[in-house]
Amino acid sequence: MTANELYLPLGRTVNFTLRTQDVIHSFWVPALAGKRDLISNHTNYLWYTPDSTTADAWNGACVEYCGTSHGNMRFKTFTVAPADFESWAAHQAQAAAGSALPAATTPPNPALQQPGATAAAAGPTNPSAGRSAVGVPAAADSTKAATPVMQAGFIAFPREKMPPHTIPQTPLPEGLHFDDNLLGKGDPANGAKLVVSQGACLGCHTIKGNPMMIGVIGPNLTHIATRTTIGAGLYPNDERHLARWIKNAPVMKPGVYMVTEGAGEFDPVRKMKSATNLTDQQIADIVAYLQTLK
Amino acid sequence: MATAAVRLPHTTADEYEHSGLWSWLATVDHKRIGALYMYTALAWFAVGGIEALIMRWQLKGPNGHVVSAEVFNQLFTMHGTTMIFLVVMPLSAAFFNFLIPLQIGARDVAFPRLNAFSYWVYLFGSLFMNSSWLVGAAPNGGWFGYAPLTTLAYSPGLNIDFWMLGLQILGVSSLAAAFNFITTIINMRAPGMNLMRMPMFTWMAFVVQFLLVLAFPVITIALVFLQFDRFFGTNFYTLTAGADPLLWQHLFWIFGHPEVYILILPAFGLVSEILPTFSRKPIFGYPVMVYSGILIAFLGFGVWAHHMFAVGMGPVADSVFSMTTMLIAIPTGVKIFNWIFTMWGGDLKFTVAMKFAISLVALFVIGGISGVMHASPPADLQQTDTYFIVAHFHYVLVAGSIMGLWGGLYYYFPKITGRKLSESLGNWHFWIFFIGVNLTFMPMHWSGLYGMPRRIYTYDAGQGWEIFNQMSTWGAIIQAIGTILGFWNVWTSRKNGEIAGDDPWGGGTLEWSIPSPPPDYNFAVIPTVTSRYPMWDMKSPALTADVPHTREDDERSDISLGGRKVGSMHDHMSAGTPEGGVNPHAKQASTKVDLKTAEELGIPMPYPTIKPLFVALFMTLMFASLLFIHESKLPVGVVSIMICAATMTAFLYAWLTSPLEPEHGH
Repeated sequence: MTANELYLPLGRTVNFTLRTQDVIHSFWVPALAGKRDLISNHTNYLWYTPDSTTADAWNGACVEYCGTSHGNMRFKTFTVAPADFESWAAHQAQAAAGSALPAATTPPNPALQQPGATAAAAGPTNPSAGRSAVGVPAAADSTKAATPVMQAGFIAFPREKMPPHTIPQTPLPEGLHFDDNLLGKGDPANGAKLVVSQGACLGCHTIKGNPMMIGVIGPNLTHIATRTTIGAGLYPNDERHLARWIKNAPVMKPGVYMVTEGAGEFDPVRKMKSATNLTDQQIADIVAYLQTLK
Repeated sequence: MATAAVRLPHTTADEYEHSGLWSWLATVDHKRIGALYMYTALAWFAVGGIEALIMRWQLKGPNGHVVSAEVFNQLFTMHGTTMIFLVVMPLSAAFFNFLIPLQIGARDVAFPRLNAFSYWVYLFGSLFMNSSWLVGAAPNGGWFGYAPLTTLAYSPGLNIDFWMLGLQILGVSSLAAAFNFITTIINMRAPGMNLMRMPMFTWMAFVVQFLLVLAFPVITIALVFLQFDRFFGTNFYTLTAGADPLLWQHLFWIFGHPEVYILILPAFGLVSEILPTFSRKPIFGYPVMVYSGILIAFLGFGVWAHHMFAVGMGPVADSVFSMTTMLIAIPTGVKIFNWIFTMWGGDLKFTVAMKFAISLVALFVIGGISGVMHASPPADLQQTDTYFIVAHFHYVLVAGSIMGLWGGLYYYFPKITGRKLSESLGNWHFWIFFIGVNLTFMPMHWSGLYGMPRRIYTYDAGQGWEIFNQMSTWGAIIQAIGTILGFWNVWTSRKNGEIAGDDPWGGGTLEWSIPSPPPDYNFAVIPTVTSRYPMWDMKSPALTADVPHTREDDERSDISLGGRKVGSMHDHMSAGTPEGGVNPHAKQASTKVDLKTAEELGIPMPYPTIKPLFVALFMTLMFASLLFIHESKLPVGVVSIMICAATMTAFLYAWLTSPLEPEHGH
């Protein structure tokens, strides 16, 4: 399942089924075709054939005023070769690498760190094991140190090929500080524990492959590491932005449902201090864990 | 001449006070009420303009942070609501009030106290809606307030309550005024003025009153549904109860589309007065100008869903509304041609009023063309909800309505105050405003087509929108400078403007036959009208050689009731004739001789009364008391509503049972 990122195969007509759970929105990729509103308690359809012959990235946005951050409600569309689309779609249906729950006490076994490690030795529910038909190898054990496993087959539009106007340049809000030195050194195992405990992420988010993460309020995080943006297309998906997002999402994006997680931070939407009180180190760990979810 | 003091519409002292605060609070004189509407609307114009300037400063570059997202959303909501309901409609009402009785040869409107009531409701309603800023809860649902965003579930604060109640209050004002003017125009025209001799402004105003009567109830229904949902637990728009958001949209736009014709037709009427005067030619194709105005209004009720081409109504509905929308361009285009043909071959005089009028004709074409482009659903699926639409409606509203209204002000200021606005300052005002308007709104066509959505508080860099937004921001600042010059012109010309006589422009219609400013009774002798340009008939008959005229035996100058002749022009004209008689064919009381008072002329004038003000005040407070319910103060709210309702009813009873004017026998 994807969030704010859309992949379309070149040369095929796409039919969008448009539904909204809350207020009216509108779905529009300006450079590709016209728009269609999403009307509550209705299902709308929009179909067109993307008029592109090369793989490319396109900006999309919500274009019906929907609340405080209507101006921030954006998404990306990628038109890709049909084979790449099939590969991407199949990958989306699977659990991510790193999604399994951490083993309770067993320390990481370096001997197991090899691509293709069998599922039997890994934690529970690793449904991608043995599924090689579309070139997706078995996911690695999430308890080992985070060396992201390179997935064979197309799973994401290469970031280096994205045109500059599709990379968000939203500036970071003032007053939200994070110790960037901690980034890149987080412990994904600890992060995996935190998301289901102190971080309270399980209340809102789903990570397929992790039976405790089945929340449906926030975006699906199963393959978040492959996505190019966060915050509904508002910020680039990298550690700096992700860490600050977790620390105080409402400051990053006005009116957002996600609560403030960072210790000592004030939540301007709920108008209270953070209840989860994550330190910068803990956030760095969570970021590291999320970066494993390819 | 410049040292003579300006005379307010009530010119000479008699038993009623003619100056001071009380005379304004208790006035029932249509000319004063028109002045009140004008000044109040200009004040809100400044407020709406400041709201726009703040937004434009935020949007001049990507990722701007002048104000927060929440405040920006309030700004665009209030800018739209203010400009539509508190500026353009009341400015039009100012002209309806001031001009209609003068143009039809009447002494006042049909219901003078109801007229005052309409103004006070507008004032108190506008103050109520804007008081929301003081509590940090200005409306934030857009001026169109789509459900379910405006339902309690998604807008739990007071913001939408202020908007919803404010609009309902303002609706009362407009509806009362509409009934008033319809009655006035049908019943109180001078003898000889059949419908096809009415001035163009009065005709357009007449059409607008019917639009108001038919359109406002629809938005009232939409708002009442929302009110009952938000306050009393009904489910007209409640998502979880399965409500269909399109209910709101249809109801709103069935009102909303006629509303835009309410906004433009008065300006069209003013242009149709200004162009003939400064071309020294009658309006070209008067009957067609009348019929096209009626047709625009009629067709205007059949196009509403062109605001909804993106909601998925299906190809049949889309096609029908597309066709009707294209159709309505025809009567509008006819007017443009007729205005051009009015000027063609005329003896043109480019006063400031004329410049504003010509500017409307030219720039409305731009707005109209983009409007017709929206009429195609496939094209509109790219254009809707983008700055392309913003460009369209600002061209027709600012380069259209506002230009026309300023032109009307430059044209009629001498009649209202007795002094002309400064032509030199006016030229600065006009040209700076003209440049500003085009610099602001022309680039928006491009940013819209390049994908810039509307109602966004900021946008990212690198989208190709920066240059257009910069141009729009500078254009807005230039517009503001021009407008300030206009305000300055109004302010200084009240005391220092060149004294205007009865007829500074050589106009052809009845309002130019009486002093400037007119005495409280308007016409000492109700004139008899011989064509649609009665002043030209008298002063410059060559100009109206081709216009239908009354012959001496023309029965239209007889007064008939149900086909029976019950009087003649001579009988009517004797009403109010001063002692010693007066020239029955005279159409003006000269300003050079002592102006007689109403009393001296034996003309009964309505009593000034403050009761309409109090009825308006307590009605507004009664609506406002509903807010207590959303502040968890239900008992306070109920008690407040009851007290306000009782007080309002008491004043209303006193109003209805007191006579309008002294007894007069004949």
